[in-house]
Amino acid sequence: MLVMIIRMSGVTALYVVLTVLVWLWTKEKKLSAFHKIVIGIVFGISSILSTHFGVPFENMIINVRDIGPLAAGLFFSPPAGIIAGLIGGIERYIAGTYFNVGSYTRIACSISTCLAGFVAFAMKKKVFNGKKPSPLYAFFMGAVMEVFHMYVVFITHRDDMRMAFLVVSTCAIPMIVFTGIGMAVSSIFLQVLTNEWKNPFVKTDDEHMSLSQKFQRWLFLITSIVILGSFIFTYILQTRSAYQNSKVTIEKNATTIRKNYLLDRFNLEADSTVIYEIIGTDRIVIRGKHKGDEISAKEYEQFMRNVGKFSEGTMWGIKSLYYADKVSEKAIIVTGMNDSEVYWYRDAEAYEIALSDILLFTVIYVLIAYLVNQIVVSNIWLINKSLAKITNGNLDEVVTVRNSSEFASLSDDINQTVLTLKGYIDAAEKRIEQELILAKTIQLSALPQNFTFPGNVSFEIFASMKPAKEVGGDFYDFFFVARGKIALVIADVSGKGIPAALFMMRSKTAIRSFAESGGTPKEILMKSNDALCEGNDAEMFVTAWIGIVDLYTGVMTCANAGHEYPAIMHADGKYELIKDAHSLPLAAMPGTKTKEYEIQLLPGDRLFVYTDGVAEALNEDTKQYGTDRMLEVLNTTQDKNIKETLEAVSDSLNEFKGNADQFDDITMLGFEFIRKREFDE
Amino acid sequence: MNINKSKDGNSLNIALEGRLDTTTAPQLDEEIKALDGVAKLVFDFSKLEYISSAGLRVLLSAQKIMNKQGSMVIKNVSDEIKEIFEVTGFIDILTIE
Repeated sequence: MLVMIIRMSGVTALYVVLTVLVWLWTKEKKLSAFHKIVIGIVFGISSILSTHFGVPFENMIINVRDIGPLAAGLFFSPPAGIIAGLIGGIERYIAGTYFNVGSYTRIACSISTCLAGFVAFAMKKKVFNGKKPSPLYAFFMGAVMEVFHMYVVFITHRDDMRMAFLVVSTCAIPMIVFTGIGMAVSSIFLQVLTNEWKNPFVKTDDEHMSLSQKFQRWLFLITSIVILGSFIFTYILQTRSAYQNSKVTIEKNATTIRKNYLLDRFNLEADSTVIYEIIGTDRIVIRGKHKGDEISAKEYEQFMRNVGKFSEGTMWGIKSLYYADKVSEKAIIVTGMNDSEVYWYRDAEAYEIALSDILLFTVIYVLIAYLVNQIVVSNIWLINKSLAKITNGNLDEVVTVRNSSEFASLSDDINQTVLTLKGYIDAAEKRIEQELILAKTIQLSALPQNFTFPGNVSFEIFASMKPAKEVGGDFYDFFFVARGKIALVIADVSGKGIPAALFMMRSKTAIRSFAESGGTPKEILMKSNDALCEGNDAEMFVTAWIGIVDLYTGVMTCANAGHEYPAIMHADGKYELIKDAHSLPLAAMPGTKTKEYEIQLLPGDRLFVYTDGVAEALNEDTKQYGTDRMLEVLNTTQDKNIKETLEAVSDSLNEFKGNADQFDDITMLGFEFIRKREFDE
Repeated sequence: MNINKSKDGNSLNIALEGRLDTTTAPQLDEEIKALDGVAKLVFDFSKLEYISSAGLRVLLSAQKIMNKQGSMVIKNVSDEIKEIFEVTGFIDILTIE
């Protein structure tokens, strides 16, 4: 027994080692057809070796052949399992038929090994969904496969139950246990190697346990109780009937022998299963199996005590059911059956029923677990997938799980909810859109749209603002601050959209009101900065350039708060950037000192100011438009008026941008000093 | 844009990669909101390609926070970005190394 356990452990351990080695070989690879075939063949050969190097145990040879196809199929690739199963199974049949290796069980063994491959294939594909089974499942896969193996031994030897029973009762337990353990240990090793190992004794909380797991747990409990219950019931019934049948047989034999003995027949015959002894008062057996032997005083005493009835006791030291009776004054007849004889059929039946129950309930269990997965769990995943799409913003997604009334109603409810939600969103969008259109109108009307001044002959001006969104943060402005003094402003609020638009309105008002109350550009910007720094919780800022042109002298006084360099074209030359002195944008830091500078404009000089939406516009390759390109275009516009100049820059920008989105607000202001204003004008 | 942060005691290193513009500035803004306990903030701009006014706004916020609780330094500023700092006047308030 101990020797058997050690040797079986060794063989099983070799299987585990083989599994780990194959895993190491394939761990970083995607299994190709070649790999699958090699794995199939390797495990097939391991099955063959396990057939021929079985472990002898009580005149039987036991082995763990079925681990081969199961491991190949469950741990590696389903087709490899089939290959290994066919190799191991067919070889087993050939060895059994032609080479007399364990020929008694050749059919059962070869069928179960072949089937193991297919079972592994189906389980891996349909139940484990391509994942490796956990140690517990691996154990049951191995154990149940061997249960099937043993059951097939029974059903292929219906006419020879005694031998089949002997084989099964000897081999069943060690083969079931070792195949199960072999699979479980392999699974544990693979889990540890792939870092998937979870301590099964740490209780998983409900949130992390899948529905199917929960269901399977209960199903397992219930099927176990049902199996055990039906088994115990049948066992008790079989015990009673075996006892009754044996009593009838013993009684019949006892009567015949007694009658024949009294007739003094020379030959007393009894059934082969029945033992009879006619014992004299001197405890010597007169007739019977042990003729001439002396029975022990204790047993003789026991027989004498129970004369005339059925009793359970020992015959020649073996537990038996017997019937003792007096044949004459000098002798008693004891007819009996050894317990093993009385109950062998019950035991054989018990094995068969237990095996078939386990198989039946395994099939039911797997089927129900599979169906729960198919009908409930997979549908839940489908719905979840749709919900994920909806959550990610695709409100056009429709949930279409309709294969049961519950799921149909759930799908309908979800779809209805999404539809309602969509309605709300659309309504909100419409409202926001209308508000934005209104805001856009307000913002545009806040920018001067009239570029002509009555009686003006000394300058020409044009400006445009094109927001990236409905509303923007850029603005331009021009207005007279005093007689003959026109202020030009261009500014850019950090950011875009509504926040920028609101801050832009504030900035524009501040600059214009400080400018109109008189002051130099430097003073205007510094005052505006302080005003805008107050209550600037959103930490917005605005870059601004302001120039005040004295139309009588052509002197332009400018100040720049972090804005783009202005471009100037003198009448005789080309546009070029004036790298003027910059201070921080308005609203960035309170108390910022602004620098001021003057430029003498001569008749025919032009000025072009712009926001970074021009210089930093991007094309599809995220290349910047840049001031060089801008100057290039500007330098082709000498013959055009200011309006046409701005349009030329705008066209060039559009061409450059291609299909890329407008990234920032685009604002430009152009000014031409045509001639000095006369003092009487 | 990618933001790589590394913290060493009470000094925080933020390396920016890509474009810091209207779309990506809110990302950095989130980081700036969690400057509690930082005494030295170092920006690494070696892989920064562009900075827009929205990005400047975040830098300004960071500078204002760090003025109160420590210091802020910007390292490895490319010529293009330096020009943006110059044009916008930010060069006056930022510490560039």
